[in-house]
Amino acid sequence: MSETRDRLERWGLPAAIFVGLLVLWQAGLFHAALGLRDFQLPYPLQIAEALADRWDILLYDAVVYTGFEAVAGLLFGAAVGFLCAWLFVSVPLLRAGALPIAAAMNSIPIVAVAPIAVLWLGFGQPSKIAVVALMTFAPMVVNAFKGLYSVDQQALDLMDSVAASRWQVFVKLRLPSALPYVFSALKVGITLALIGALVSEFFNAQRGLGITLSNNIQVAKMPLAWAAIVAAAMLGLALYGLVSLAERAAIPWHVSFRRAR
Amino acid sequence: MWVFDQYEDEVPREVGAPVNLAGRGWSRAFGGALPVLAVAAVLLIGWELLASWYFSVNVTPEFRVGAITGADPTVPPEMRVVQTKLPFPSLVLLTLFDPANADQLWVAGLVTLRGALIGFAIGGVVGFGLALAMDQARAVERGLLPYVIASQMIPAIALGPIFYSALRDEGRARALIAAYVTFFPVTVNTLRGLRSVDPNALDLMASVAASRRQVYTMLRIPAALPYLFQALKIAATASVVGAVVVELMGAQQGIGVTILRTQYYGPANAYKLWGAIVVASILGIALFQAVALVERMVLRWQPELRRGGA
Repeated sequence: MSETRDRLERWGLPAAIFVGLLVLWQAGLFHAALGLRDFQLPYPLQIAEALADRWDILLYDAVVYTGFEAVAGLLFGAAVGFLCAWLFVSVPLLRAGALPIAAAMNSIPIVAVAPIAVLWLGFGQPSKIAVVALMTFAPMVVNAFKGLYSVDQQALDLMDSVAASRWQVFVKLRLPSALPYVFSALKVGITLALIGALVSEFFNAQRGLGITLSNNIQVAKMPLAWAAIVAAAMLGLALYGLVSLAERAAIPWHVSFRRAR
Repeated sequence: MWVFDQYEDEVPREVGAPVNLAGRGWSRAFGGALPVLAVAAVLLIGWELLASWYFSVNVTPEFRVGAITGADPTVPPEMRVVQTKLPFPSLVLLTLFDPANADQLWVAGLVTLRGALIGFAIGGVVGFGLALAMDQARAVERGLLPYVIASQMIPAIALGPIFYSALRDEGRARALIAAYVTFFPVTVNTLRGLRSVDPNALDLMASVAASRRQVYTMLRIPAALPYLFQALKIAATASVVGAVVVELMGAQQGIGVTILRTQYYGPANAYKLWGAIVVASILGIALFQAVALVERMVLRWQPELRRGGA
């Protein structure tokens, strides 16, 4: 198959499906098939209109509130998670007792954490940042631990043989080998972070995409609610792209970035 | 868009792959669950002590009984919130087992759990089927995979409120969002698992003239199972969260409704709120552990599960 045709199929097929769905939606197919009324499910053009109309408010909500909460919380949670992982690598006793608990925090639903955060930290941004930090902490602990711990034994022996200090082993061996794992955790974390920020805003908030979404649903302004969803999706893609860029800058040597396979 | 390119062939390197925390020997050496229980017990006792210290510092003696029950209106507001912020774990336990709260806590929890489970099952089956279809038909994969992957970068759970407002039926909305958040990770991980087969094993199957069906049932699907369970564990918690998010938008039943209402009515309901929070976490953790249990039973051959770890 020629390269252009391959590229056409790779990009053209998904794009065609997307446009086709939008056209069918606008033509009322989903409304007819699911028995929905106009006020239950807005049309794509109505959503586009709402986006064009309120893009300034949505952008402000997305960047200054929800996006900031997600990024600040992720940085905080990831930093604490990495430190804990390093601690678990250094202290075997902690590894046995605390690592499984840290990993189990993955399964605590955020809807249980968000109301507690509001109780302690109020309705403002700190409570959202705390929830995000808590959610992103667990994947980082598990991944960073794997990265720091699964160092090649021969490399460790080599470092020993040249009398490398503990600090040198960490900086020159453990840290570089952990970075790919750390970025994997950050990529999972950034999506979790956005979910965390949005869902905490559902419980109570002053501003943000989550509270905009839930307020507009309660007053049945569906096009604007959908516009908030679109904005949240765009924010998710943008933040994910940022993490990927950082990854590429930090570990350009990693196998996943090599062109030839 | 090179940024997303690596997803095309090797969707995140480590995160989707089965995490093995137990196979390293230290877990076996320390006897599995014992250290975890010990740390949990220490945390709970620490909390109880911290709570009683916080309580005695902030609440004057004459208001102590009233501050706990929340029934005495003469207790100053700043003393009443003490219990809301840091309750006694022992009293939270009592609240959980008080029959008077059974409706608002446990029955509501079961309503949420039912919706989450229905959606979890539907999403799991659809996701697995779609992964099989993608593995066989390149057009299906090329057309749909970008969306399945992009959906892992966007906060899909935010659609919960939208589903509820469109369907106007909380039961269906709960199941739909739970299915939606289950379906994506299951599809991506199953597909990755189906492709994780050792090429030598494939050659062997070809050399004994195995049929396409045999290659799937004997090789590809067993290879995909560890990946599938990894996705199901992620989805277990997510489907509970999805069901609760639907309930935050004005539903009538469910544990999310109890959380919202008790949060709204303030300190008098402090223990019911904390009880509801505990029930919500139990739902998520229980579903996660149930999947992990099934995983252990199904995947006995996996090295990291042989001695009851993970």
